[in-house]
Amino acid sequence: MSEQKKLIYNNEICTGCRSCVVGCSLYHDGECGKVVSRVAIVRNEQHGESYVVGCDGCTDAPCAAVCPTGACAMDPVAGITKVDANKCIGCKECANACPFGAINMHYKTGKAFKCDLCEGRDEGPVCADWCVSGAISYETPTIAMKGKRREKLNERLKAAKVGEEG
Amino acid sequence: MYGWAGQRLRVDLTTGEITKEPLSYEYRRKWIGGRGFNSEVMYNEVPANMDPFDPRARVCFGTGPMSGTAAPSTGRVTVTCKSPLTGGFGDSNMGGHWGAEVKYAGYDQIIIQGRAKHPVYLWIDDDKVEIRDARHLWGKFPRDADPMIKQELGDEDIHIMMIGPAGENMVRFACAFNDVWRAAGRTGTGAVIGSKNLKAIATRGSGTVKIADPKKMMDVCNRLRQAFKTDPMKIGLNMFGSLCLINVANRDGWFPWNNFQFGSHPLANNVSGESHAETVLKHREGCFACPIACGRFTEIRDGKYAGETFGGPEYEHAVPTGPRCGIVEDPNDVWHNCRLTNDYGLDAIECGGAISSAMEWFQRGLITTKDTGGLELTFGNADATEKLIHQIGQRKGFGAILAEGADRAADKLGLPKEAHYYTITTRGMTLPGDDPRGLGFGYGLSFAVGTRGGCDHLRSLCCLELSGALYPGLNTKLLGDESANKPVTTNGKSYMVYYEENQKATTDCLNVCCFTTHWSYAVLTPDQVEYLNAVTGLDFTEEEFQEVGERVVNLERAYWNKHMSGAREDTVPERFLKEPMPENGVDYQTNIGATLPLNEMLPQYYKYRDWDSKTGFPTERKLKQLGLENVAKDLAPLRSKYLSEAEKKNVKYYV
Amino acid sequence: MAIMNKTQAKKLIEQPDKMLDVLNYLVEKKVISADDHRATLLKGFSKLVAVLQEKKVINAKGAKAAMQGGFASLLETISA
Repeated sequence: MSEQKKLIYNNEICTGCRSCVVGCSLYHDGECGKVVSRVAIVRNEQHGESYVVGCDGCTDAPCAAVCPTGACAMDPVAGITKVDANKCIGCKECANACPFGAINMHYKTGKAFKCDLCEGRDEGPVCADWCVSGAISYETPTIAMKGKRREKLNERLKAAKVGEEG
Repeated sequence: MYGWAGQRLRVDLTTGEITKEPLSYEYRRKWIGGRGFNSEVMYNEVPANMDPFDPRARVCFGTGPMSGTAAPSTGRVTVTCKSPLTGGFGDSNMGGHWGAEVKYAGYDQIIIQGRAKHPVYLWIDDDKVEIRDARHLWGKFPRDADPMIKQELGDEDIHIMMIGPAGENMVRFACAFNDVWRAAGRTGTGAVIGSKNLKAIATRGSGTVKIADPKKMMDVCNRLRQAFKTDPMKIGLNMFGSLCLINVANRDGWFPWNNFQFGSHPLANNVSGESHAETVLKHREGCFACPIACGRFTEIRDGKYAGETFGGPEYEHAVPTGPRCGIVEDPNDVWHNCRLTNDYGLDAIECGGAISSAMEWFQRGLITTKDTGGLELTFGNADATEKLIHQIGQRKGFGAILAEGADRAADKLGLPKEAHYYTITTRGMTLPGDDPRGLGFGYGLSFAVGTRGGCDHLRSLCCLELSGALYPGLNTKLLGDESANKPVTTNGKSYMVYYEENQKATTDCLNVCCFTTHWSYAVLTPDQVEYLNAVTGLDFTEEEFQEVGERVVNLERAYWNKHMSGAREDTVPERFLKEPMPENGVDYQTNIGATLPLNEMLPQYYKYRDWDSKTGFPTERKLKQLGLENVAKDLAPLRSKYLSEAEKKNVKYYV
Repeated sequence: MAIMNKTQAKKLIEQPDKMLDVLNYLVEKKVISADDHRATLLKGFSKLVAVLQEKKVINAKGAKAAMQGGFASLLETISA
C-alpha cells in the first residue's frame, strides 16, 4: 500500500486567518462557526503568533485506544481515525486523550467529532486547499519531511556563511 | 434565521440598561447590515446639533449577514459615530476577528449610548451581557490590557474591541482596535468610545451562522478562493502587505513627501513592502476567513528601537508619521512611530497629518519653537516627531493642541487663514497617503465628495484606476472605457466614482473586506450577490445590491447637509488644484506638472448622483426613489438656508 | 441600427465621461426605457450592451466588439 497523505502543519507560516476553520465548518456541517470546526487556530494576539491545532493522523492513535465502544477507530484506507456517531456515547475520553486537543464535542449531539480528511472531496481537505500560506498542507510525511530537511539545511548554511563573513 | 443574527444589542452606560432589539425583515432588506445599519441609526438617533461627546450620542458597531461566514474576508466591523474631528458623519472599518465573534455571540449590531460613571468594559458572552469595572485597565496600551482581560475572564480565546489612552484622553482622532492591532482608524471613533468611559468590549461567541444553501455557498466560496490563489493583487498584498504600494506610489507621483509638497523621494524604497519583508517582517497575518492575508507583524531588529514588536504597519499607517513628515532615511524610525500610534490608539493618518502640517507651518515661519515648546519641527526630525506622538496621545504640551486636529489647532494657535492651506483637509479630515495629482483623478474626485469628511480613499476606493490595469477588460466591462484605468486622466472618472462608491458602501453593509472587491477584483458584484443569496436564501439582484449602497451614500450625504455642508465644501486642498506636481530627484516619476482638474469631473458627478449642483443636496426625487422620504422632508427647509449661508460665510473647515 | 449620426457619435466619444449622456440620449430617442437607464447606471456598461443586444439595436458581433472596445466601438456601431 502506498504511503497515505496526512495533514501537515507549519505554525511558523500560519497567518491565523481561520479560512481552514470556517471552510471545515461549512463543508461538514453546512453552517459557519468555530464550534463546529474540526480544526482550530490558537492565537497570541499581542505577539502575532498563530498555531494550527488539527488531527495529526497518529498511527497508534490514543483517541481510538481509549474509546469504550469502538466508535473512534482507525480507518486503514483513509489513514486516520474516524468517529462513528451512532456508536459514540459522548464520554469525552477521546477528546481528553488527544495530545493536541484536536477532538471536540458537538454542540448539537454532545458526541465527539473530528477530522476525517474531508473524505470524498475531490480537491482534498478544505483546510489545506483554502490555506493562504501553506501552513496546512496535505501530503505524505515523506514529501513533507524532505521539504523540512532542505529548509533546515539552508538555514544552517546561511548561518554558517554569516559566521564566516562576521 | 439565515445570515443575520436577527437582533441588535443596545447598551446604555448611564442607566446600565441592556436591551436586545429584533431587526425586521424590511429593515434588513433595506439596509443589509454593517455600515447600513449604523448610518441609519446615526441619522435617526444623533441630531445635527449634538456635540459628539454628548453622553446621548451613539457609537455603533455593525457586522453584516456575511460576517463569520466562509466567503472571502468576513471579519470586518464598521464603527460609526458623530465625528469629534469633523463634527459630521464619521465611521471607520476594522479587520481582525472580532466581527465574526460578535456574530457568533448572536448580534448584528451593538449600539452604545450614555456615559458610565467610571471606566468600564462590556463582557458579551453569547446572550449574557455584563458591564464590568475597567478602572484597572484605564491608561493601558491595548497590547497590555488585552491579555489582562483574557486572564480576568479565564479565556484567552476571546476577542476584544478596545481603545488606547488617546481615546481615553479624547484626542479628536483617537481610534478603536480589535485583537490589539486591528484599527478602525479614522474620524475619531476611539474618542467617542472614550468619552463614554468605555475601555473595551470583550466577546465570546459560541454560535454559528446558519446558511440557507450550504452547497451553493461552498461552490461559490471555493470558486472565489481558487481564483485568489493566482490573483496578481493578492500575491502582491500577501508578499509585501499594503506597503507593496510604496514603490508604485513613488513612480506615479503620489508618495506624500513633506506634507504633499512633493510626490516622490529617491529613498522611498526604504519603507517599501519589499524592504520591510527583508528586514523586519516577523509574520504575515490574515483577518477572519481571508484568502489574501495582507497583514504584517513587525519586529525591529537593530538600532535604538531593537526588540519592539507590533501588528502592522499598513501603507496608510507608515506613510503619515514617516514620509509625510520627511522621515525615510532610517525606516526603523518609521516602524517605531507606527508602534506608538498603535499603543496610544491614534489615527496614524490624522496624527501624522497634524504633525506634518505643523512642520509646514514651522517651515514657513507661521509657528516657532516658542509655540512648539522647544520642538524643532523641521521635516525629517524623527526625534521631534516621536516626542510629539507621545504628547498627542497624552494630550500634553504642544501635542495637546495638535490633538484637536490640524484645523482646530490652527485656530487655537491664532494662526492666519493661510495656515489652513497646509492642513490638507476637506471637511476637517486630512488626506490619506495618496496625492490626487498621482493617484489619481478619480480618487481626487472622491476626496471632494466622500461622506465621512472627504479626503478619504475608502469611500470610493476606486482602484479601477490603481489596480484596474491588472484586470484587462474590467474598466470596459463596468465603465465602457479601458483608458479609465490610468490614474492621471479624467476619462470615465465621474461614473467610476459613482459606481465604486455605491459598490463600496454595499460591501461595507455586508461587512466583507473591500480588498477582495477593490484592489483585487477577484470578487465582482455578481459574485457578491451570489454569496449573499446563498447565505440568506433571499433573491437580491445586482441592481438592488448597488441600490442599497446608493441609499447609504445618500443618507450619509444628507447628514452632512443637515450640518450645512454641501457643494461649497466639495473641494480638495488647494495645493492639489493649484500647485503643479514638482520633481524630487526621481527621474522616472510619471506625473510631473499635474494638478487635479476637479471642476472637470464634479458637475458630471452631481448629475450621476442626481444632487442639486448649487447646494450639493440630493434632490427630492432621488431621495424618494431610494425610500428616504423622511430625509427629503428634513432637507426641504434647509436647501435655501444652505445657499444663503454659503454666500455669507467663509468656508467652514469643520462643523 | 443607426441611432445617431457620426457627428453626434464623435462628440460623445471625445467626452472624457460618456455614460450618462449616452444613456440620456438613448432614453430621449426611446431606444431604452427609464428602467434600463437605471439598471445600467447601477450595473455598468455591460448591462447597456446586453440591453441593446436584447432590443436588436446591435447584433452579437456588435455586442462582442463593444465589450472589447467600450463606448468608442459601441457608438461607432450605432451611428451612421
